[in-house]
Amino acid sequence: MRVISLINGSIISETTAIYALNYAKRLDAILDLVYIKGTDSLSDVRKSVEELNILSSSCDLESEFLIFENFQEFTVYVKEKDIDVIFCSTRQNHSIFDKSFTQILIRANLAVDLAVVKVVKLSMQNSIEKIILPVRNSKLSVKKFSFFTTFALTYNAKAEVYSIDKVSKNKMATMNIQKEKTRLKEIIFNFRHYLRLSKLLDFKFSIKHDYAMTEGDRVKAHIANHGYDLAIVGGHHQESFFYQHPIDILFKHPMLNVIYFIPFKDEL
Amino acid sequence: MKAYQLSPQKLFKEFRTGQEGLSTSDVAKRQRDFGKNLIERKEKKNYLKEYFKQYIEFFPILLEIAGVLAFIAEYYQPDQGNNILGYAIFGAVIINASFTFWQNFKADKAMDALLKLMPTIIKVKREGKILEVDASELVPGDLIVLEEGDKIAADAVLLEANELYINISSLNGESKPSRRELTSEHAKREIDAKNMVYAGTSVVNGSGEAIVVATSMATEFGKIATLTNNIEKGLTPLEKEVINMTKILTVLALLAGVVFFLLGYFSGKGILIAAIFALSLIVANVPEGLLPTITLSLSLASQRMAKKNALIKNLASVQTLGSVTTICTDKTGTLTKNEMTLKEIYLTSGEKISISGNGYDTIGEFSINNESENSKEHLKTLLKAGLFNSRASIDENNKIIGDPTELAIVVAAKKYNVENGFQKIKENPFSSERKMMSTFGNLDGKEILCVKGAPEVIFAKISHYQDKNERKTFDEDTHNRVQKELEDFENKAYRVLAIAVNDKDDEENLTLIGLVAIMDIARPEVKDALTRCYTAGIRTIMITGDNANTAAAIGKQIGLKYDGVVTGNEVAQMSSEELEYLLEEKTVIFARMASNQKLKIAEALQKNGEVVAMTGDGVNDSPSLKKADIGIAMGSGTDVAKESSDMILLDDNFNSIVSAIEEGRTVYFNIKKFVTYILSSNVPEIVPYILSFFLKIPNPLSVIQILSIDLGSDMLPGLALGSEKPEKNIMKRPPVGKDEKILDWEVFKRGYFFIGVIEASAAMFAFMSFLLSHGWQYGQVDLHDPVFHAQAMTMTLLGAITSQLANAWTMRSWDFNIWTISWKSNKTLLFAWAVVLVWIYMLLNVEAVQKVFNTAHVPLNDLWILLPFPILVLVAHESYKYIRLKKMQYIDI
Repeated sequence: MRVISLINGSIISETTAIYALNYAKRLDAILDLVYIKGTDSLSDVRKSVEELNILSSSCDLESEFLIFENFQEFTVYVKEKDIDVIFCSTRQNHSIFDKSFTQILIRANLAVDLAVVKVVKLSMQNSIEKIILPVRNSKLSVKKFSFFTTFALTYNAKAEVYSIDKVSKNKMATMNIQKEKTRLKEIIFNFRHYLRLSKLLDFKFSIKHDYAMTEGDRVKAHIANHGYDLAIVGGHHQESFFYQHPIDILFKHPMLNVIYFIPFKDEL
Repeated sequence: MKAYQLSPQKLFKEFRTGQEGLSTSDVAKRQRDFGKNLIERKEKKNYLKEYFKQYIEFFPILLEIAGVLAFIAEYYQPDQGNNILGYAIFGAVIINASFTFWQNFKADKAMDALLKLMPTIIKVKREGKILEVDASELVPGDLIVLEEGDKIAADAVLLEANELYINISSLNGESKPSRRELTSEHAKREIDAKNMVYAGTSVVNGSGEAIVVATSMATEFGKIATLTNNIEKGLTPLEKEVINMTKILTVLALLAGVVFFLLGYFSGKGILIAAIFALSLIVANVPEGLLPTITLSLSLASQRMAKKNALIKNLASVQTLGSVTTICTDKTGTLTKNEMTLKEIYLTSGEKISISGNGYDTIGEFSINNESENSKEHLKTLLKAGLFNSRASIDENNKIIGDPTELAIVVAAKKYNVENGFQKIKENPFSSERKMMSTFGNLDGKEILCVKGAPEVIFAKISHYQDKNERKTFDEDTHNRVQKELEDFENKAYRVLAIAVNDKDDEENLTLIGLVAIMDIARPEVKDALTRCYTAGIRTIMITGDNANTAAAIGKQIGLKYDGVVTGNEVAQMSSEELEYLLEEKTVIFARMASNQKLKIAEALQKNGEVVAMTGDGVNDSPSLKKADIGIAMGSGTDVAKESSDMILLDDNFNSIVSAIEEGRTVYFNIKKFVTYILSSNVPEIVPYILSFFLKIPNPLSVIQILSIDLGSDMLPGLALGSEKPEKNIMKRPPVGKDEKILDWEVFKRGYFFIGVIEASAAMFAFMSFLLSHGWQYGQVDLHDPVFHAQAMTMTLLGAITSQLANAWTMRSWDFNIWTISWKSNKTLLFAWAVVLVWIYMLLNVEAVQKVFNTAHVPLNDLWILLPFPILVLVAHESYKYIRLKKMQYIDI
């Protein structure tokens, strides 16, 4: 099994590669440091690779540096190999007309999971103490949970699943908060298979539940108030021009490093 | 390892920079990667969109359908006045939408105030040169240069620090400057790292250089901004009630409409007649004047509250105050006067001194046990040392300047006639880390270093103590003796400072002179205000930065009821669920609290179903002020706190919160009164229609006449009820809104089934007696003389209006008989009465009004029939209240 981290010599792609490195190490996977030729400086890329090779060899992780001429060549490689996940950093600023590499990657719909990383804080990639996974209406896919678990175990971090239910203004008016506390029990019941699994893995995670009229805002406030080091957010292959998923708001101007995890929807 | 734990070399490597700073090309790349160093603002509300949303709620949609039906009816049956009805209904919709919008939407300016803390230009070192650049251009890895007075634009780890002190109050509420170091070994969080500076803070002293580790929303300031921007306040109790009320009333109206449409249709009246009939019932049932009356009533109440030093920013908060179940209040300045007074002194020679007088009044007596010339001299030395080592002052005009604790010493020195005869050479300022300050200079011709600070810090630096004229070694026995006195002082809620001296500029090997015990005097009115809270079923939780002993002692002094003291560290260890459980079971004092823990307390209380009022004054109080049901900012607080709050307390006084709660409860009951009042008139509006359907009688009331009651004659008296003064038992009830709703069975019973029935009887009696006395015979449905029909309808209308006048009067008190209230005490109601009487005159005599409202002149000898019914309404409701009062045990008459 291989884990790919796309690098372009930037400080954020190097940080992303460190996340990938730690993830690969946990899974005993091979780390592919991939550079697809473009406008970025190859010397910067080589400097990054040097640093990353030192890190990977210090932790006995097998890593390879691969250069592809173009994106097409890269997709062929992905199809041929057993790739678990592709890590890719994304910038804060890109124009509507000039598509970022991340957008091209997402739209390519490759048969592989994607982990798009937005880095806003350097030096956090090695010290994650608290990690959060916000979910809507207690919907948590197996893929998302297993990715989250791998990260939490990798860093031995305190893990929290933060479930949020959207409620309308009218529903809020008639809600009895104390009675609604039973909703948490319902969620715990829904997540019982994950809880069972976590027990087997000797991995502990807490579940918190909240109601909000605007979910994105509530999640942001929760994160700001409780100080997490990393958030993993469920992402989508298809972006809608008209609709933004509420939790995507987290990714827009994040206050912490966020991994936007986009699982491949396989047919099985 | 986190950035603040790294050495400068590792930081340079991690952030790919060096002592020369970043290159221009690196900066450009990083700006693309990390974006601009700007604090995100929420998209501004589209007020037009918000306004139009008011037209697509359940209640207005119903009226809009009714309006459209009226125009359809006009199309098929022209010249029946249905078009006027249509316009009137749409007018009602517009009035309702505008009032609801006015009540609910206001510009949120908290972020504007917050952003003022960020600089626009900063000094940065790039390619070895110091440049002034726009703060938004800063990127991680940049080296920033810090000088006294600079505002800081990003979170950064210090590489150099020369006597660097920053004002960090915007992040942790600490008002004292915080000294910065080059290392921070023990910090677990970035905010506690002594080798960091933060965005939104400023340099108060010294200089330094630092490497930027976080920009924009990733900074600690970004977190405060996120909380300020994104905290979602739940619906206010009033908003909940209005949603529920309009839902119930609209469903009732709709049901009545549908039932009578079907009855009309199947009894062969034709679809159009049945539809108009149904429409009339809907219009009669929907209380069109309710929302405007509530809004105007809240607005009037907010004006009354402003006179009591409570400035309301959000109209719905007026009523929320009435529902408050828990007040979380700061201690300093709110429960106490924030006028520190030096009350007792302990001299190391063993004398105890008590000082009379409170606050900054410079008149007071010193009582010394075992008074001698030596003890007087010792006391003078202590006061001189305190005065010398202080920045505070009182000038000839008694104008006070400086820190309250220092002012306490300055005032005591003035009381003892100790004069300012020294020359300062050097000052080592106070910081929250050092917990002490010292001043070196010439005092009475000798070089001296005077030190004051937290006793535990000073004791560690003491080698000797002053005993009368001698300087003795500070041995263990002496330490124990002084320590015991210190504990005695602390148990009495004193803030204690140790005062020491040295004959050289060295903060070690000091000579202790004594302890000064300072007290922040409790506001005298707080005890009574707390008693009122307890009687009103409101619990009060004190949140303070003071230690547990001081907090508990102050609590006892002011009569605060509490089960124990919980410290900030304990709160930090608790999960949200544990805190919820604790607060469900117990009332505690929170001591040694960081102000960012207030949010956790507000959330826990709200999850327990409490309605929370929370006070605050600092920038970092902003999230908890926003989260609380009622955020109360102090008038002396920061702009950010004020903008984040629902109410500003102009005099910072706890008593004003309790007065505001009383006003809030009054508003709640006043709304209940006018809802009952408005519902009462629905019955005389509906009953004539129903009777005309089942009986063979002409139509007793037109739809436009119904609207003239709802949006005309009912409005002013309803509004006047909204400004009724508090009832005498208002603070002896449990908090309103929790168990007792505005629209409860009592309101329905009184409004619909009691007063409403009397009013309907009045209206129908007036109508029928007028018809019968003018030769009408039962079964004659079509009155061929339109003037005669208009006169009969006028009688119905006046029957309802005059009964409502009496209703408004008797409704002034919910529980007590009307003669217990002065007839002059509600001048607005007297004015409303006068206006309605003029309106009756116009309905009877002004042609233009008659044309629009289908009324006609009725001779005076026919009008006397109306007289008994208002009297009946008055007597019946007063009897009802009397009987109810007898049955109810909890009301303390």
